[in-house]
Amino acid sequence: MDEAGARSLLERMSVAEAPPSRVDIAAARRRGGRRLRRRRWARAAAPVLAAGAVAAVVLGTGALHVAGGQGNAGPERPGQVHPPRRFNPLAPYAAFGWLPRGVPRAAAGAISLPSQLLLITGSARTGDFSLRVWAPGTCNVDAAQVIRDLRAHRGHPRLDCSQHGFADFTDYAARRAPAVTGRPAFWLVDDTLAWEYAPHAWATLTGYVGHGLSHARTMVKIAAHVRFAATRAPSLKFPFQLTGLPASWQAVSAVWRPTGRGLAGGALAVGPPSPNPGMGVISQIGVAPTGHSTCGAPPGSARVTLRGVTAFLTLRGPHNGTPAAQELCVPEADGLSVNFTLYRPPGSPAFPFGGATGIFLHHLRLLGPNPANWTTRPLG
Amino acid sequence: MSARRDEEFTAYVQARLAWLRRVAYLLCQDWQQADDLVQTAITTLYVHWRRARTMQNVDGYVRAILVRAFLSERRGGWARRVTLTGHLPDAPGPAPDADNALDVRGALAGLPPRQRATLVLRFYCDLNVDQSARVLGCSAGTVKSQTAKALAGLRRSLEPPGPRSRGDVPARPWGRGTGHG
Repeated sequence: MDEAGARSLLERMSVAEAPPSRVDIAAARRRGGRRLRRRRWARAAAPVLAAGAVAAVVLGTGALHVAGGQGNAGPERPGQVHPPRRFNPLAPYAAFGWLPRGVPRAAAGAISLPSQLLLITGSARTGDFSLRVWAPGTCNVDAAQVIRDLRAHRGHPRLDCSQHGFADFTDYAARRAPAVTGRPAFWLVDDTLAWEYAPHAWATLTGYVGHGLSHARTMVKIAAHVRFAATRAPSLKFPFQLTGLPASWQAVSAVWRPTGRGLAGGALAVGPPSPNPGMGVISQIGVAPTGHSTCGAPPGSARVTLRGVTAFLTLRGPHNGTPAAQELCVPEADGLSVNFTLYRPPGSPAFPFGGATGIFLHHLRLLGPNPANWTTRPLG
Repeated sequence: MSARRDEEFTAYVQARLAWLRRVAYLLCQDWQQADDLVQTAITTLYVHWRRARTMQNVDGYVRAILVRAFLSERRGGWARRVTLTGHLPDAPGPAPDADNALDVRGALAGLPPRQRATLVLRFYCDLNVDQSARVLGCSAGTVKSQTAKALAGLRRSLEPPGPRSRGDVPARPWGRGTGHG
């Protein structure tokens, strides 16, 4: 067999009669579109997840699996949902109920904001799904308006749930979908299912259902089983507590995910109620058992000693609309590693609380690496 | 992704689908697997379509995606998972296959994935050594050695057993031109 022989062989084989194609171009666009949207979401979530220092961390665990644990009053019944005007990022408002076989119900990744909750689960092999739930009044239209516009053939009504450029969502309704627990629902142009789960409160489900399943039936079934008010009380557990902060301050975003050992990774941002959700003033707070953190000494950092503990402080100037910041990394303190970013509030000449070092020394209580000692009240 | 770019993407894939399936079939040796591979490749292409559509050689780009997906799936053990469908994925055609006696498909299927991919790139897609190396993510020397091994493997698989060798394919060097039957 020489090169000519190989060439001839391949040529002969390539003209073998082919069965009808099973390639689905529309499905490729749908799945590719979802991947693109996730990338855009990840870029938009960067200020919370990691604007500078990486927050590798441990946050709460287990609560997302359980509808009735720790102070939870149980989910609301389908069709009788009464969402709050603002979600508590520490009490994830919704959870997956039913999912196709093989797809884990526990979210693989999640971010919780006052206006929005995003849950992602599954994989390319099992089917993957992302659920977004918005607080009432976040999106630009209600279902009645979408129905009117579709009936009047006024193009594809726009569903816009953007929040000041953070984790934006804009899509277009293509046609009615079967009602979800009696609530109006629509197929968006990319086969995302959108439904008004409560008056003026929207949820969307984007997914790839896997081979052999009906996309439409599966998506509607998943949507119908979403549990709202899945946790009523704060249920994410933290190995630290912030103390002495203004009473008005609150958690403005939380990122978490379950891991095989029951630990979840994410970041917490806290600050006063803000029109720029997710940034907070103290952001990407990450506290993890030593060895689970990526906290290190970034280039340009200064080594400091705080209460006998080595820390690395990095100063960052304002950049592309992000305010000036101080990033503190403490590789080891009381069995934990700590890192967070402190932003200088707009218009303020100085960093509050004595800067990042002041927060570590006077406002941060570490609770040790034993999860039994962790708290669901990170703002003490 | 704008509607116009969606249309461009769809038009491109529809136009090149037959070619993509053939390349995938040569890699996978199975039409079902080939279609799955093409599905994976065009999904990836869609994600990168904004950039791909401006390239001079979109075919080359998507071919690279296809080959890399093929090799990646093989590394991941996908090939070890068996899907039982109840029908043979590629039943023999009604007309006799002239190559049946030599089991051509079996010879190609018997090659390791990387050797098979190298052959397809070099002798079906007509890429040179350097071009193939870029697609496979290896050195030119590796491409040459993989090619040599693949050709040797085909030779061994396709070489007829001793006394029944055809006159133009001598089984032994001293049998050259003797026309033994």
